[in-house]
Amino acid sequence: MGRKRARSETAKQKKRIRVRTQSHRTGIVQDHSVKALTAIAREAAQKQAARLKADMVAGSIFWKWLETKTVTPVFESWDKTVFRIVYAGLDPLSVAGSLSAGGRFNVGGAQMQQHDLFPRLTMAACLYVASSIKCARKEAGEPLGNAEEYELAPKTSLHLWQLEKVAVQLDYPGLLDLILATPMMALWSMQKAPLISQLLGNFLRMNGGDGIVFTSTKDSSEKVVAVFAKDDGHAKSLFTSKRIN
Amino acid sequence: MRASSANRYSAEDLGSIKNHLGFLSSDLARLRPRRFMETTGLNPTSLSRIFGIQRTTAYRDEIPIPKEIKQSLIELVIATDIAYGLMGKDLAQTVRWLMSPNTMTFGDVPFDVIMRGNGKELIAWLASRAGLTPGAAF
Repeated sequence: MGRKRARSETAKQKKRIRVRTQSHRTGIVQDHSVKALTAIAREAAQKQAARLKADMVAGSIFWKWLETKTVTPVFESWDKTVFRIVYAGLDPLSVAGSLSAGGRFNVGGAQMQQHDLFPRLTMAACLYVASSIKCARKEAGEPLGNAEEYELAPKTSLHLWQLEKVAVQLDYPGLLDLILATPMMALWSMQKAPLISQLLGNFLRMNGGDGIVFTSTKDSSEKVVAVFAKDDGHAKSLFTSKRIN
Repeated sequence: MRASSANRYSAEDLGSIKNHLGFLSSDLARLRPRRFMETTGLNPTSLSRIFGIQRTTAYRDEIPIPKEIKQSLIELVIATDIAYGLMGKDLAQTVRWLMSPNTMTFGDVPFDVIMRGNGKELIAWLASRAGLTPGAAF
């Protein structure tokens, strides 16, 4: 008797959350759930979780592989002025956002939730700059609205890993493509698993150097530099900044 | 709307929702399903699925905001308000941005990002891009 009542309750519940509609034009009958929004939100969350899981698996395989590797320094000395664009009075030498959210070549707090899968992985910041203001604008995506443009002059010569040469040396299948497919500007705080480019950045940082230099995907005649910065103080010890626009 | 001369700020100056795309009624208390359909190009069936309402309800001018979607809907309105301003008050561009896969969100559609509960991150990014809060453009 109890089971019968329970079954009837379930049936009633099902009935309550289903909506049957029929198109006046085509006559097609469709069933919808009035809880559909929850289902859509769940579906979107599941899609994201599946992608993060795939990122986690790919990342942990790459990290294990990377730990068995040694890399010979292939540095480029850099003493040229670089450029950065910020909004609403952000200090151009601030790396706080990079440290909390992460970036293409640095693992931020957002990606450190599953750190047990990545031994020796550390949270660290990068200062992302471009070799020309034109390139910085392209990387940021114009129009830039009320952006503030800065030129940053290095106080000393920086030793930068040459990404293209590192990729050849490491010889991991499709490494350069995987890295360049990772967006420069993205909502990194949403990315909860470290990506291959971030793991590589962490690995190179452990092996010395002041940063990574690579060809801009938005302007192949220009370079983008990811400078390894411990914090704002460290970034300020590397550059002097001057507002140009 | 500007505040009276006795007051220094209007509600909008202090962050009140502007509702540029008109998804909500003028008192911001009710959802406007027809306006939502006209703007986004969604059909009644899709809208009824998204908002968990009956298909016939989607034809109404205004309905009470379903409890389950209140938070997401407010985040959606805030995000589209900022995006609309950023895109030079171009409605078509704003809707295209809202409903298309986006590299900034790792390929996800901003609408989905908001519905799954990451609206706050998206708003923070848009606010920085609009120069409302400090942030790096590059």
